Amino acid sequence: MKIDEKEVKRYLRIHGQFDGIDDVISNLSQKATSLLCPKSIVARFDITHVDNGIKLDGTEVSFEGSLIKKIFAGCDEIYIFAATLTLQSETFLKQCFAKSTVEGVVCDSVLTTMIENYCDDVEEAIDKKIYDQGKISTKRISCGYGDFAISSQKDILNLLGAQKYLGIQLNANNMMYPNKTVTAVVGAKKADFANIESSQIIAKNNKCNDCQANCDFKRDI
Amino acid sequence: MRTNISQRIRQGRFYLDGGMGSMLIAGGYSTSNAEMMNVTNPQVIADIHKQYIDAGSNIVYTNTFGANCKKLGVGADLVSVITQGVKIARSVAGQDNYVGYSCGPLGELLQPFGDLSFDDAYNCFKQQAEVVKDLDVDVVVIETITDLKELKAAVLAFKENTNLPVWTSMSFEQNKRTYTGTSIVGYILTMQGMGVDAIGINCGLGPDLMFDNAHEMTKYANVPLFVKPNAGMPYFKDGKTCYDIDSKQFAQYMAKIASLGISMMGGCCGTTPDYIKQTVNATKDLPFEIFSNRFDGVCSASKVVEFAPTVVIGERINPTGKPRLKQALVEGDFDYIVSLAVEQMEQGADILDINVGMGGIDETAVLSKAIESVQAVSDLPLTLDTSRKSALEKGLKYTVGLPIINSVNGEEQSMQNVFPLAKKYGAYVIGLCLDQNGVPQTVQERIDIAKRIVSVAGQYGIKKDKIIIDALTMAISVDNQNANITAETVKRLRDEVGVKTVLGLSNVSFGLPNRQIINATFYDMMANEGLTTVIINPSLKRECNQHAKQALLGLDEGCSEYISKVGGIVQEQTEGAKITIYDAVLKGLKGECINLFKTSVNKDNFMSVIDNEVIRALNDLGQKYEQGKAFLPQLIAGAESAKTILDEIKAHYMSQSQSVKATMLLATVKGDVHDIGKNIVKAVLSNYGYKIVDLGKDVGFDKIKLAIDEHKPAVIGLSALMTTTLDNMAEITKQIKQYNNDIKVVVGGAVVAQDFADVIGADIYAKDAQDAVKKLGKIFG
Repeated sequence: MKIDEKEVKRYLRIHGQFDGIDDVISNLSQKATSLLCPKSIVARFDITHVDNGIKLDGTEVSFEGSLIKKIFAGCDEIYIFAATLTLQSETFLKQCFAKSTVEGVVCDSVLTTMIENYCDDVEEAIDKKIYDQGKISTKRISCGYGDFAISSQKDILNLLGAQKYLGIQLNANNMMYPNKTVTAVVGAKKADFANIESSQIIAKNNKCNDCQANCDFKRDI
Repeated sequence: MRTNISQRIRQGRFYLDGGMGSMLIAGGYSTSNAEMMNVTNPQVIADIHKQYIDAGSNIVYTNTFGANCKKLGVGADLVSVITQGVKIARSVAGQDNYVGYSCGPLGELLQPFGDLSFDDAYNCFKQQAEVVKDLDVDVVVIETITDLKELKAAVLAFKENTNLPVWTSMSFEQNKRTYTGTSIVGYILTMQGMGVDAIGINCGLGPDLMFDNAHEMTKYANVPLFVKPNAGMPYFKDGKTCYDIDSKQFAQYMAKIASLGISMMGGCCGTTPDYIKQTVNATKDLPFEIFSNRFDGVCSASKVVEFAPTVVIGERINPTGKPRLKQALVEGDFDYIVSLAVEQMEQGADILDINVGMGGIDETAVLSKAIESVQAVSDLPLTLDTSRKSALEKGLKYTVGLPIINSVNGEEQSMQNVFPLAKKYGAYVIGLCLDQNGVPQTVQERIDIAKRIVSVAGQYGIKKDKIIIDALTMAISVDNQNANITAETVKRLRDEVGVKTVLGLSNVSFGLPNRQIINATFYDMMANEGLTTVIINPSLKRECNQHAKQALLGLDEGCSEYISKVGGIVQEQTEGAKITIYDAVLKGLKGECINLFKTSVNKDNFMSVIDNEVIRALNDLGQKYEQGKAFLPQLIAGAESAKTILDEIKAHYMSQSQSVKATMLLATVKGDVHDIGKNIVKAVLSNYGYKIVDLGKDVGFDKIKLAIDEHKPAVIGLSALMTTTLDNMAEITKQIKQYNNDIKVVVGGAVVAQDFADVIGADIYAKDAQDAVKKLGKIFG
C-alpha cells in the first residue's frame, strides 16, 4: 500500500517547503510499508431501528445517539470493521523515538496516515460490496465521533473477535492497543441510483466538510 | 493402567481432544463463563469429555482454560473451579486415559505492550499451579498463548510450583509469527531451553494453513510435537461464528501434517468429536518421528542468531569508563540505554551485551529493568553481563528468548552460582579462562581452565555446545606476546577442546595510540581464525593494517614501529568541526554537538557554552518557530541537539543540584493516547533545566499521585487532544490541587484554551512548548 505523504505533512502541520523533511517522510514511509502488514476484519449485520439508535440483529448490541440515528437513517444493514497496523507498529515507533524525537514524531504521523489510508481501502471494498447489491453506503464513523459512545468500542471488538484474530486489546478507559488501530461502522441503504445527487458522493469523500471548526489539521477542500 | 505420559507420547500416536467452547455453544450454553460450569453444571462438561474419549482422544483437557484470577475475577472461587474441573475430567478419563490441565492466557497484555508486569503474570499462574500440584493430573498444557513472555511466566510458575510435566502451545499466524511477533523458532528454542516436555501450536488457523507452521517446527524440535488446528477460518453468519472446513476435509489435512512425523494431534475452535474420530481414522497407521534437531544459536522472541564465525556482540551498554551511561543509570534514564541499543542494532550488532554493574545502584533491579526496556525496542538476543548472582537470576527470568550468560570462570564458587541457572533456562555461558589465581600467562593453563569449565558444566547437565570460552585479551603494550597467546588459545580451543570462542578484544590496544586501528586489525586476524563471537563496539569494522599486524604478532618491539608510523595519524575530522555549538543547535545537528563537546567544552567554559550558545540558539529557534519561519521538526531537532550536548556537560562537569531547576511530571490524560505534543514539550523543556518525568499517555490520577510521592515535582504538565478527554483533564487537575495545592499545574493540547484552563483551576495554560518555556520561566527563573 502507499502512504499519502501530503497527509503526513498535514499531521505534522508543515505548510509549504521545508528542506530535508521530505526525505525523512519518504524513508520512514518506505520502511513502514515494507515492515508492517496491516490487518482487518469485517462483519455484516442486519439492523433494526430502535428509539435511540440501531440494534444489531442476532446480537444484544445496540449503537445509540443522535449521530447514529442521523447517519444510519434509512439503512437496513451495517458493516463493522477493525483495522490495525499490528503490534509491530508499536515497536517500530519506539525504535524511531529511540533514535531521535524528530524521527519518532514523523514516524507517528506516517503511521497515522498509514492506518487511515488502509481504512480507506477497507471501506472501499465494503462500498463495492454494498454498491454491487444495488445499495449506497454511508460515510464511516467511529466510536468517539460526536455522541457515538467510546464504550461501544468493546462491543465492536467482541463482535469481530478482534482480540483473538487481530490481537487488539482494550483497556479500562476504552483505549485500543496497538494505538494505530481503528474500528468503524459503515451503513448501507437502498438507493435510487438515477437520483443520487453528485453532492452526496462528494460529501462522503470529503472528511472535513461536516466539521465547523477551523483547526490546524483541516484539509484543503 | 496408563504409562507415564512423557514415555507414552514417545511410543506411538497420541490423540488430543477437540474444541470445548464450540461444543458448549452447540449445546446452547454461553462460553463467557464456561469454567464456572465445572461447579454449576458438571454433567455437561463430563458429557463433552466422554464424547472425545469415545471418538479416540487419549487425553482430555480440563475445562479450566480461563480459570485464572484475571479472567474469573478476584472474588471467584478458583480452587473449586480447578478442583472440580480436574475431578470431572478424571472421572471420564479413568485410569487408562490421560488428563491435561488446560491453562490459557490471562487476557491482558504484558509490559511493554500492555500494563501487566511479568511478576503479576507469574503470580496469576502460580495461583493455579498451587491448586493443580495436588490434583490427579498427568500434564499441564499451557495453550493458545501469543506472547513468549507470558508463556515464560506460565512455564516458570508451573515448573517451580509443581512436579508435573509441562506442554506448551502457541497460536501463530500464517507468517509464522504470533501477533506479538514471536517466531516459531524463537518459541521452540526458548521452550526447549526451559525443558518443556512437548511443544505444539493451536488455534488461529485451520489444518490447511497450519501445515507450513507445523513443518517449521519439525526443523528445530528435539521434543515431541503436537498440533491442534481450528476447523478452518471463521466467518460470520447471522451473528454467529462458523468455520469453513468439515470433519472429513479436516482429517485429510491432518494426515498431511502427520506425514511430517508429528505424532500428537487434536482440534481447537470449531472442532467436535467427529473431527477427532475422522482424524484418528486418517492418521493412526502413519509413521511418526521423534525429533532430535540440534540448532546452535540464541534468540529473542522474534530473532534467531546462529553461531557461525563471527557473531558480533555489541559492548556499549557497559558503564565502565562512560560517564554519560553512569549518569543515566543513576537517574534511571532507560531511554538513554535504549538509544544505545538501537544505535548498535543499526550498526549491525547481532547480539547486545547488557552490563549495568557500578557502585551506588541496585544492580539486580536495574539489570532487569534495562533488559525489559531494551527488549521493548530491539529484537536482538541478549548477553546478560553480571557477576552478581541475584541480578543474573532475575535477569534470566525477565529475558524473553534464549540468552548468553557473561560469565563464569574456573573458580568453584562461580560455577556453582552460574551453572544451575544456565541449566534452568538453557542459556549459553561464556567461560573465562581464569580462576582464583588470576589470568594464566600460558596457553596451556588457559586451555586447562577451559577444559575444567566444560567438564564441570557437564556435571550440571550442560552440554559442551552451550559453552563459549573467552580466551582473554591482554594488552600488547604490556607484553608483545600477549596477542599471540590469545590467538594460540583461540586456535587450540577450537581444535583441541572443540568449543565456541569469544573475545572482548579492545583490551589488546590498551595504552597505544589510535586504538581502533589495532582493534580492527586484531578483529580481522581472529575472525580469520574462526573466532565464533566477538564483543566489540559494532561500529568497528574488520580492517587489516600491516603495522598493527606486526605489533600484534609480536614482531614490533615496544610497538615502536606502529607508534611512529600509525600513532601520529590524526583521524579525519568531520566537516562540522568549524561550525559553532550555536549553529549546531540551531540547525539540529546532533552528531556535530557530540564532536563539538569533545573539542571545545571544558571545565572552565561549560557555563558560558550553556548560556551563550545552547540556550541562545534554542531561544532564537523558538522565536523563528513562533514567527512561522521554522517548523515543528526543526524545533524538535534543535531541542534534541541541545539536549545531547547538555547531557554530556551534566555528566562530565555538573552536580545534580547545579543542573536541575525544577522537577516536572508530564502526562497525556486518561482516555487519550495522543502524545506528540507532550513529547515535544518534554524535548524542549528538558533543555531549560527541568528534570522531566514522563508518565506516558492515558494516565489517571492514581499514577500521578504515586509519581508525586516519588519525585516531589514542583510542576505537573497535562495534555489532551480530544474533546472527550477534557473532563478527565478537569478532574485530574482538581485531584492534584486537592492532594497538594503547591504544585503548579500547566495544561495544553489541541482542544485546550486559556478560558478552559481558568475554569478547571490550572495555574498555567501553554499553547505550545515555547509558550511553556516562557511561562514557566517566569516562575522558576
